[in-house]
Amino acid sequence: MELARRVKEKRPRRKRNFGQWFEDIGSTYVMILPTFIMFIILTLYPMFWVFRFMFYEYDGVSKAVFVGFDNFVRMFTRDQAWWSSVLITFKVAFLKLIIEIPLAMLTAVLLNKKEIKGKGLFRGIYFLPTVTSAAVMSVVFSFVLSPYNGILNSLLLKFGIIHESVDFLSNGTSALVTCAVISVWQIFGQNTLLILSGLQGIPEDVYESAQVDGANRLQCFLKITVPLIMPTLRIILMLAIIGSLGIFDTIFVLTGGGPSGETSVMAIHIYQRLFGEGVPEYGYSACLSFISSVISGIITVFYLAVSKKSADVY
Amino acid sequence: MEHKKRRRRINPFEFGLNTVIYLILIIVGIITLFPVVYSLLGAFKSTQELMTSGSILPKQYTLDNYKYVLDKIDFSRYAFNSLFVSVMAVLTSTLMATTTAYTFSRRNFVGKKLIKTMYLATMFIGAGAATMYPTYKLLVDLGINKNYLGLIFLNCGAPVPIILLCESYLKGISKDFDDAAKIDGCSFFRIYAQIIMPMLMPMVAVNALLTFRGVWNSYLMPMIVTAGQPKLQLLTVAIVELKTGGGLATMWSTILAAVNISLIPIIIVYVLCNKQFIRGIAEGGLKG
Repeated sequence: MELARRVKEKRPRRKRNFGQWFEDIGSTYVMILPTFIMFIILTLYPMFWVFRFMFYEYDGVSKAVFVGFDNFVRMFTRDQAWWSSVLITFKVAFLKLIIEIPLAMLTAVLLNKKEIKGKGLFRGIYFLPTVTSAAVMSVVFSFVLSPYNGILNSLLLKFGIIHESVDFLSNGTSALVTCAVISVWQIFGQNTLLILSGLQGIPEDVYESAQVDGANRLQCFLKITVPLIMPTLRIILMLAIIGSLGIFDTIFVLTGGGPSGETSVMAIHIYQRLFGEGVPEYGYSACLSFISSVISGIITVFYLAVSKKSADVY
Repeated sequence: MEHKKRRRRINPFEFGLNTVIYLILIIVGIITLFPVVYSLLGAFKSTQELMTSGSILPKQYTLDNYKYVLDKIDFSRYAFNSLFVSVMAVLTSTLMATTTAYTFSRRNFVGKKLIKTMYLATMFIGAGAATMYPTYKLLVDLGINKNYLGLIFLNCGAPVPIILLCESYLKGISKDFDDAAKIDGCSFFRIYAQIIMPMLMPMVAVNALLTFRGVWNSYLMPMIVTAGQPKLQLLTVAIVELKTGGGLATMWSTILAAVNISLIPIIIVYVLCNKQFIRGIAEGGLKG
């Protein structure tokens, strides 16, 4: 023991030449630094920029002025448009989640059934939209949904489901629902995949022994599948919540935040203050942006706390 | 004999249930495929036909739309831009993620814990959408917003989930390989290049696919960076611009041809590498 420690202590002292130092220590940093430097530049720097400039008034031309908490005061007291965009974000996220998660759960459970053939094919088809670009597919959707000559309207008319063409993006509510449905289309396959791989991880003999004990299918599902899939579902739901709150591409291409700001989610609201028409408000946008991530942070933490409690019940 | 017996045992309830299940799966499948098929087939139609006919299959196949977007409005260039930037991003992110994962798994050094914590933390902590501006401003200040460097620079980071994935994969590879090579006189770098990299190939493939998908499909930052510089635009940006920018906005089937130039390559990659994609999502998604 003593000997081993002495040998360890001695070794670095014996060789002091550069080559050895480089091989033992220098090389570590050569390997680690490029990634770390890019991390500082692309991730940390923009974050700290936001943390700093949320206390400033800055339009990109004149000098940035330190205004303390004025931006926050303005946001909390006078900025109706911002809070309505927060509300819109919640609405879209909620709509998206209540369609996406049950759909993913349903498809995954059905695909997990032993007798079903062509599992790989179905899974492959459901996952396909996730490899396409949300922005590009939104262009396609704008044609499909178009009130004039759009194929969806003409199909619905043909089958007599509607009697005159519908403009899905004409008013706030239906535009929100449409955007939510499209982003569900885009992403649900990923969740199907994740839930399915969770389901496949449940050992077969658990079900067999339950059946021996006389459990029926519903009982098996509620008492075995659901509790065992819960940990997976928890993470999936958390990722889905974070993803939904940051929704941008689909809505930006389809409606651009319109009609009259009714689909302007937080990210679009901030984008327009930064790059839209009018004088850019970099400082104020930084403040809004910070608050938006605080909001999603709070929701995530709240969700984790609640879901932990429900996980304890099972 | 055995076979017959089993077949008789399927009861009507089971049969009905399976039919319903197939029906649901197929309906969801059709809805999922519809927009993609609509786009792929629509580009073969004339705009006239695309708008008026209720049928999804073209009556007459024409390649005029493709010819138009490739020759007249320079989509070959946008396709090249997208491909070039995506491939560069794949190369840099592969290099960065694997070097970091290798060092994390094989060495202890001052600051390792701190760096790791920072990487992990930024997966959950962000500063929201306003980070677009400092990132863009940085490219302007560095003077690389008007050439490819800027677009490549944007995607030069290592995705943290991939670092974690590679690291946990490397932890499963015995250090005996390293030690044996070290005794034979291999340096830290040579072990990385000649021993670790070949073994990391499955993870490299996963990273390549996910990064390629991400950059090929990315829209927001490329749009901001290439605003006013049509020659640098990526496919995604150029397609949205076609639709919103007037001019061709009414020529649907032409725009669909442009859409397909973006869709077809990624779909081919997906079909060929289906397994790696699914592996990447199933492992990366939950571990992160």
